[in-house]
Amino acid sequence: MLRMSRSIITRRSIHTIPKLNNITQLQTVGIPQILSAKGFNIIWTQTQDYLCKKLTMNTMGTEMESNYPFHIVLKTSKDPMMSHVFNYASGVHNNHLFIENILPSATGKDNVPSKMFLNRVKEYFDGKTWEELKELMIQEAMTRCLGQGWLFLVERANKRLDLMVLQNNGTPYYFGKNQQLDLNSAINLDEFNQLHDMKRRLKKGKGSPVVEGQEHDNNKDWTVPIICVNLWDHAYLNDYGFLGKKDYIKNVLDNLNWAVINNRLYS
Amino acid sequence: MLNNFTRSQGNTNDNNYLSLIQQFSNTVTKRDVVNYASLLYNLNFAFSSLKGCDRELPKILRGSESLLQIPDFSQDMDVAHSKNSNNILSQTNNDTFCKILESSFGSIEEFKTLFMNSCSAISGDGFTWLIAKRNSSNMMMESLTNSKNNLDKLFVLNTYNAGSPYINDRLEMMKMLANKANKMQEGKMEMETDDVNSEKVPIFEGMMSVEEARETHSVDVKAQYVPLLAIDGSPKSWLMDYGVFGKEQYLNHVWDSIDWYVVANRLPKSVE
Repeated sequence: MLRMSRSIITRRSIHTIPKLNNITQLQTVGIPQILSAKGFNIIWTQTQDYLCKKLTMNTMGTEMESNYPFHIVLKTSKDPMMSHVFNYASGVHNNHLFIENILPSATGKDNVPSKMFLNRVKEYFDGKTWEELKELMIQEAMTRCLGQGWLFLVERANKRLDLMVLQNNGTPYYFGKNQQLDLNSAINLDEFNQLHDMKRRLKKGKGSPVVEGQEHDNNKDWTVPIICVNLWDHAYLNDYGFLGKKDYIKNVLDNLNWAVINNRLYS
Repeated sequence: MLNNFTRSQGNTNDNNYLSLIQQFSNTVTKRDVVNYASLLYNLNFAFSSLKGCDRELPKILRGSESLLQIPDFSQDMDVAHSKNSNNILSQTNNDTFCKILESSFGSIEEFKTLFMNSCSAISGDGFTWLIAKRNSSNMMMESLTNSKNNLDKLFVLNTYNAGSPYINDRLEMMKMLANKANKMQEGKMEMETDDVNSEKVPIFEGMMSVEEARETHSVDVKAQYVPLLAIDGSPKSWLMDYGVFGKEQYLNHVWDSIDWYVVANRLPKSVE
């Protein structure tokens, strides 16, 4: 987890956009097969700037102003009164994860999923291949995120892989702030139970023993993101249009930077 | 999208959307239908409150420096206030509407501030509404005897994603689900009869915060809320024309485009 936040640079208590290698090239040609130069500038140069500035403005003069966005996410995720800071910090961090895993690959033909990744996919998704999992990911993103949000493939504490669709600026790191349910719509019994379990875990977290059959002890969560796809309008509206969300997600998943993703997987 | 889900029903208009929303708002199998009906209704409603204005779209999009701009205080607040209220009054020719705005929010300026800030605070998708509360029939009887109570308040409301101002009975759905979950839990317990000591934990325990509050504060569930005005705060409506930093500018343009005549005419008669 530290590995990911290390490259986020803070300079004298001001949150700035993380520096990417060959940024000038990205700004002039975009990311081939995924984003045009203009699209890249909207989602990275401008949106990341917006989120960083907003985060700075909201943490100025507090103990958090010199923290990494990642640490701010963890610190604020348990405090509903800090949601305004959490939202920006989580947005900054997620968007960085996203852009990292779609940067043009330098390895050329070797830009493929590692064997370990493919095996793990098979193991945890009922024998599905990566190609089949991609279909599932697209479907999940299209049906479970009506507004803005994020699509994640995550690794749990027990190394299981899982899909997550987060509403708005949810974070994969802490179950209480996953924001997987859209409570503006009706929910079914499973989702109700999910919500109820979450509430119980939050309550039990305060110093009580481990609940039997639960993979996490108390309210600790060791989930780590592996693949991150930005589902905000900012990411695809310019290049793909109102009806192009599906094509956009497909293009992202087809052109991931596997050097980054293989590295994120625990080995 | 909605057409895909409701192929059997041919014609679509606002009333149809509304009946879909109200009929199925708590039915999870019809979730997609309700969501898209609600989005369509909200969007239609938002556009029907606008008539356009003579301000041009920005030619150069705002940059990040606009976040750090100091607001312009040079404008005389009194002048701004009278300009706004005169504008609304002259458009609507409806004194009652202006009066109820003032009595609900303090002044037109305060209403504008609350309304615009509510919308700019929506970080994902959502709409900001001006709604009128219409009392239930019981309250009406009471209010007939007391003419002062006749005037009810206007409120500003945010809905997120496919939320709708017409859905205010989620409590029922949550209760139903909790009952279902409790029953399933009990069923499980009976099967494990050998474990006599197993503590029965009602699944409803520890639930509800907002819902509980609603119950204990005996909210008048019969009250109806009538939307008068809505604006869309979702990025889809402003991102392309105004840019990443342009939401505030978009909202100012929208404010100048509101058709106050239409809005004032939506005020229910019982409130007047």
